[in-house]
Amino acid sequence: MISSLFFLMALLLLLMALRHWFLLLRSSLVIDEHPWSCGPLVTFSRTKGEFNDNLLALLSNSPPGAVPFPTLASVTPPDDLIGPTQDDFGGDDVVGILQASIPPTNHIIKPLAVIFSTVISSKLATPPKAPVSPILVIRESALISTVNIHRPRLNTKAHLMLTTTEIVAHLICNHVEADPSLVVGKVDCKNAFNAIHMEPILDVIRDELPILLPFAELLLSMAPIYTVPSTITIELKAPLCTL
Amino acid sequence: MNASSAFFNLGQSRSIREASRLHPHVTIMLIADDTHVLGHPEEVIVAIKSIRTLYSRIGLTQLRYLPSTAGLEVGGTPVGHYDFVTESANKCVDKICYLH
Repeated sequence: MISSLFFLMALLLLLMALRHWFLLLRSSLVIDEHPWSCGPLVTFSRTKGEFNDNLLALLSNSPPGAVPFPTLASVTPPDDLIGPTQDDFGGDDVVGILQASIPPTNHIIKPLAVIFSTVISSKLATPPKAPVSPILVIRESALISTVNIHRPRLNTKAHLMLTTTEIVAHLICNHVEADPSLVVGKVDCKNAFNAIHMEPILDVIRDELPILLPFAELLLSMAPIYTVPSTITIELKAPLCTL
Repeated sequence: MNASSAFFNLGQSRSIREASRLHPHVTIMLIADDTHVLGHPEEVIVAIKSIRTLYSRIGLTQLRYLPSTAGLEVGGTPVGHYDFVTESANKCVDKICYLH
């Protein structure tokens, strides 16, 4: 009996120590401000929506330092591009987007996006005459986006808890902002979780986590017996078994 | 078949390891079913083509076309042109403030 009590007390102390350690770790990860924040104190580019209306009202009573950011033209026709032309990219489509940091009175059109055909142009190996911000879109495969990133500055302290996802997002942001020659490409698979084959998953589990193999086979080997017809409206939070 | 996120990542792990071995100069980062490739344009493009080929062997053949916008979402975080980031943030605020 005494030993059980002693064990429970030790366990309680251990849990308290763990909680204290977790809080310390959490406080060490809080960031006071975005390290990459830049630009004016209050900026926006949206021209409609309730949030925009409220923001306009806020700005009308705001201190002089808070200025609305001008709305920028989104896409400029390829013919108006200054710098690389469509021919520089082997006839592939080129669209230009105004650089956000340039005042509207001094428009300098800078091509930011290049749409490639199915075959990647070898033009990339030889840089065009004028600098191009490498936001690239590869048709049917990926979007590559980078550089000249202007994040709205936060006028309050931003307390961010770093999660795994945020770490990746921050990592990508920091890299592409620090080195303009870098780009990030995103491969987005359609219906990925349903499309992936069962065998590659089981192969990995069989070789590296064999203890999970029966469980994985049980989960992956059978498709659901019942499917819900599209004519039935499913109430959220309702247990599936009632269907 | 509907694989959980963990099983999905196990299934794609060998494809990604192979891609990483073939393209050591790019950094490949995965968030669930999204694959991000960081590097110089010409290397990233070649790596993405390799990944597409490797993915096709495990059933991931249909890659969705991403429109020519000025940014992308990395784990839900908008990254890219100022307008894209601001618009995404405004939409998020609208959703939180007015739809709930």
